Amino acid sequence: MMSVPILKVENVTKSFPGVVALDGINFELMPGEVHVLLGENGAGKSTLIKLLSGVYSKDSGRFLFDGKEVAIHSVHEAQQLGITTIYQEMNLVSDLTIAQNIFLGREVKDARFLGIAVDRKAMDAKSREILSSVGLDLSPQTLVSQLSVPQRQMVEIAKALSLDARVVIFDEPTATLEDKETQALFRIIRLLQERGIGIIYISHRLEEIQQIGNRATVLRDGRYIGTVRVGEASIDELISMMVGRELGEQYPRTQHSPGEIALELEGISAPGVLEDISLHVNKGEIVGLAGLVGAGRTELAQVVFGIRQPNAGRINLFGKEVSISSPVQASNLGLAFLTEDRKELGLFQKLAVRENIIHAAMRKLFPCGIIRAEKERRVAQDYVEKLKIKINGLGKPVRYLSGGNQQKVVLAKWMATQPRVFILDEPTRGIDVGAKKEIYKLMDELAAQGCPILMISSELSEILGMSDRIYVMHEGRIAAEYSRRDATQGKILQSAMGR
Amino acid sequence: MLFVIIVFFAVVAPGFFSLSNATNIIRQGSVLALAAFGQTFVILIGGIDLSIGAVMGLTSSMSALLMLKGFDPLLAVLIALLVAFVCGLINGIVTNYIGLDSFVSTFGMWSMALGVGLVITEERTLFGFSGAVRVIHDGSVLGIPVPLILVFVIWAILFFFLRRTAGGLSIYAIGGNEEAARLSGIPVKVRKTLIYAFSGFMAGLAGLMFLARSNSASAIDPIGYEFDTICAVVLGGTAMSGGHGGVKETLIGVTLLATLRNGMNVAGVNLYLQLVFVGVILILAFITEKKRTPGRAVTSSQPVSAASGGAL
Repeated sequence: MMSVPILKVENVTKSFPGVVALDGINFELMPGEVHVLLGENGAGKSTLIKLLSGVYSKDSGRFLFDGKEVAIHSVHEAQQLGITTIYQEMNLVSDLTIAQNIFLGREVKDARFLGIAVDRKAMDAKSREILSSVGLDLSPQTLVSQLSVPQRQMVEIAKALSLDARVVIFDEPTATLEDKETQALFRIIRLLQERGIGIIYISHRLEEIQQIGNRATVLRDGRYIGTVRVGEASIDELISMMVGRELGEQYPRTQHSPGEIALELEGISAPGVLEDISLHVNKGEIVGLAGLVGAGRTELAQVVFGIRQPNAGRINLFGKEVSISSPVQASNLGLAFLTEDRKELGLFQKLAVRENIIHAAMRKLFPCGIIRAEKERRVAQDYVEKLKIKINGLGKPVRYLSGGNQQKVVLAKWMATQPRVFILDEPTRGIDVGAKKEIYKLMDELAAQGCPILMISSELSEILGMSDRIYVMHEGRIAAEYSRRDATQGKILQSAMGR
Repeated sequence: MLFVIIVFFAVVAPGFFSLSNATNIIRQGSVLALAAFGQTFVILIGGIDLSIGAVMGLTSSMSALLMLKGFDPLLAVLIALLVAFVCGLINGIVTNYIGLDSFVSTFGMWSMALGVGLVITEERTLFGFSGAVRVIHDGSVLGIPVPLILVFVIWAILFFFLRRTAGGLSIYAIGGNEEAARLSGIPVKVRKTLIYAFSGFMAGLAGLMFLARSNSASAIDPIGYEFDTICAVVLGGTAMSGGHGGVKETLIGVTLLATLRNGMNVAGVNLYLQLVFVGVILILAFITEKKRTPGRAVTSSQPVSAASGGAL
C-alpha cells in the first residue's frame, strides 16, 4: 500500500466571519484506505469535507490529488476529480426515478433529436448495471420516494460509482441505519476498497470505526490533533484525543432503586404495527426499548403519548387506568415524549432558546395565559444552567446551537413541565461524545430522583450502558425482556432479529 | 371529473355539446393555457408568479399603442414580448439574487406593470389598431383554429422539454430537493431566474392572445388571470410545494376550468354565482387530491416492506 496518496491536505485553513473553522489541517488518504475523521461536533469535520467537495473554498494551504496540486472551487470541479460525498441528509430528489437521480446534472444525451433529449434507455441500462454491483435489486425506474432509508443510501453510493469516484466521503452514513444494514453498508465499503477507492468516513459511533477504519485522524476545535492506526488505539484513547481530556466511564450510572410501577401497558395492539404489547416501567428506573427500525418502538411510544390510537389494550399510570387520545391529554397526565426527530418535531428552529424551553410548560407557569417576561427568562436561565446548555443568549434562535445543545433544550423543555414519566426516543442520535455523556448524566439524575424513564435506542451500547431493564421488540411484539445483569449485546441482537 | 362536467352541461344546457361551442371553449381557454404554462414552471420550482395578469395587460396595451403609433404589427408584438420577458427576468433576479420570496417580488411586479400599463394607456381602452394580430385567435388552418394549434404545439414542446431533457429534469430536481440539485452541479439560481423570465414571456404571449380575442387592449382587463392560472395549475394536480406535476396536468386543469366557465355561461348561470362555483370546485379538487395521496411526505422515512429490501 506504499503508493502515492490519492489525496493529501496540507496545512489547510478556513475562516468564517468571527470563527477560524479549520486551522492548519493535515490529512492523507491512500488508495483503498478507509480513513476515519474523528472529532466532536464543531471540531471542523464538516468544514473539511465541504472544502473537499467544493461547497466552500479554502483560505490557504494545499490540496494534492495524485501528488499534483489542485484547486477545488466548485462541486463540479470536485466531481471531475472524482471526489463524491454522501451526505447525512440525503441528497436525492424524491419525485425522480433512481436512474434520473444517478445521472442528475450529467444526463446521457440521445443522439437523435439533435442531442437535446436525454437517453432514458441508456441511463436505465447503466443504472441497472451499477445497482446490481452494489447488490440493489431494484428497477432503475423506481421513484426514490418509494425507497427506504438504506435503499436511498445505496442509490447514493451507486451515484458515486457512476461518477467513477476515486474518493468517496461518507458523512455519518450509519446514523439512521440498523446494525444489520450497517453491516451491509460495510460490505459495500469493502468492495469500494478493493477497487482502490479511498474512503473518508465520519461517524460518532466509535465501535464501528474500529470495525471499518484503517486509520483515524482526530480534529478538535478546528485543529489537527493527530493520526493513528485504528488497530493500535483503544476507544478510550480516541475519545481522549477528541475531547482533550479523559472522559472516564462513558455511561455514568449510579445504583437505582426502582419503586412501584409507574407506567404499565397491558395488551396494547394497533393493526399492522403493534401486537399485544405488555410492559411496565417502575419509578426511578431506566427501561431500554431495543429493536430494529420498523419493529414498532416509536409507534408504541406514539400510542402512549396519544399520537396513535390502539385498537386494544390498557394503559395504567400509577395504578390508575387512563385513556390517552391526544398529546395534550398525555402532557396533562404528566407524560413527556422526546421525539427521535429533534430538528423537525422536537424544536421550533426559528424561535429563541427561551421560548423553546418554556412553551411546553406554558400552561403550568402562566395559568392565566399571559407570559411574564421576567419569570420566563428566569425559568429558562435556570434550565440552561442546570443542563449546562451552551448558548449565545436566551433570545437567539435554537437552530444556531449544536446538535447536543439542541437536544438539551428539548430535555429542558420537558423537564420544565415536571413530568411524571419520561419517554425518550433516540435521545443521543447524531450528537457528539461529550454531549452524549452529559445527556446520560441527566438521565441518571432524573432516575435517581424517582422519575421513570422509557428509552428507545438503536445503539446497543447505550441500551446496555444505561438501562436497568431491557425490552426487545421484534415485528410489533415484545420478543424478550432482560435485566441489566443478564443482557448482552448478542442476546439483544438475536431477540431483535426474531431468533 | 372533466367527463362529469361535460355530461352534466350537455344535459342541462342545450347547445353546450356542439362543435361550434367546442371551438369556442378552445378559443376562450387558449389565453389561460398560455399563461398557465408559465405559471406551471414557476410552481414546479416551488415559487409563484403573481405578476401574470398585470404583465398580460402591459404587453397587450404596449403592442396596441405601438401599432397605433404606426409600428409594424410584427415589430410591435416582438417589442411587447421582450418587455414581458424583461418583467419576468426582473422577477427572477429579485427573487433569486436578492433573495425575496417570490410572493413578494412578483406582487411588486404586479403593481409596477399595472401602473406602467395604466400610465402609457392613460387608463383608456385602446381600439382601432391593425387587425393583423387577430389571426392568432380567429384564424384557422385546415379548419383547425389557430389558437388550438398554437397551444398544442407549445404544450408539446414544453412537455418534451420537461420530461425528456436534462434541463427539464433539473426543474423537478430543483423543486423536489434544491440542495441536491445544487450539489449535482446544476446552476440553480440561473435556472430559477430563467424560469421566471419564461413565465413573463408566456404572460406576454397570453396578453397578445387576449388582445387578439377582444380586439381591444387595456392594462386592467387581464388582471385576475394570475389567480386563474394558479387555479388551473392546482386543479390539474401540480403540487404547490414544487417538484411534482407538469404541463399535461395544467392542460387538463385549463380545459376543466374553461369547460366549466363556458358551461355555466351557456346554462345562463349568474356571473357572480359562477365565481362561487369555481371556488367550491377548486377546494373540492384540493380535498380529493389530498385524499388520493395521503401524506406524500418526502421526509418520512417509511421503511419499505421487506420484500423489496434488495441488498439490505
